[in-house]
Amino acid sequence: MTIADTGLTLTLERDYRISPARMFELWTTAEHLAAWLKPSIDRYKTSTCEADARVGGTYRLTIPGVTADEDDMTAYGTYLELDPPRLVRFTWGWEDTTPDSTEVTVEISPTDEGCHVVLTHVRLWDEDQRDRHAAGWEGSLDSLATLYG
Amino acid sequence: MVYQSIQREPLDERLDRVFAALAHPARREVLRVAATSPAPITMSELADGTGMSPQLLNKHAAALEQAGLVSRVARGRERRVTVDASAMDEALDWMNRARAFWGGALDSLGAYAEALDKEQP
Repeated sequence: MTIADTGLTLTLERDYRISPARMFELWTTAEHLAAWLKPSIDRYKTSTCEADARVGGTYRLTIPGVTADEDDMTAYGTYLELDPPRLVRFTWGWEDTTPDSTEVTVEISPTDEGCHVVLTHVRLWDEDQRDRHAAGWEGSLDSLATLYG
Repeated sequence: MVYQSIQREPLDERLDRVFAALAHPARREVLRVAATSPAPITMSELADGTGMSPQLLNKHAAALEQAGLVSRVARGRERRVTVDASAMDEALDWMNRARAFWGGALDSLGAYAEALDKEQP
């Protein structure tokens, strides 16, 4: 892992064998989010989720701890942009931390087999950064990554 | 395993400062030049290396220092800049935890999608 390839932005990509419309549904429906949005589908019990998938609407997802001594985790955020079936953008944070401190963008594009998903998670700190980010800020930290990566 | 900071303070604030400091190309350049110097670099060498005016360099170095990414120590007539890797490590750590969480979630999404597919061919 380096931050060089991301410019302080985490980007992950995957291919899936479901349609973009179906994929969009899995990202915007509480029932589906409760079923899959967790680090492992086998190890975790069923989550609880509320999602009001419209711009300005919020979601709340509680993932139960795997063991008795592990706390539940609640993710909370606001939908910023919905463009079915190709884009969902929302703020993401854990409860008790600043809910709007980070932002996730999910881009869905069609493929022959189904769809391709690009997830981008960026940590925001102020409006200034948000503006720069919006203006297409991208940094190269190659040398730093070589040193610290 | 899961990326969750238990408390907002003080790690999150440190992280915010580090990410904010790194969000500027000129400051990344200052950090790059300072970090690749074999010995603590002087401010005047840093100005030469980055092509920045002393005033501008001073401003960016102060921001980096505030984020804990560098420290400036006066030695004789010159101030020398040392890079502190631990602040950067925390930022990398955050990204690694985020990567682990979303990587796991995207795998879960794949398993879930396949299970749905079998139910409704």
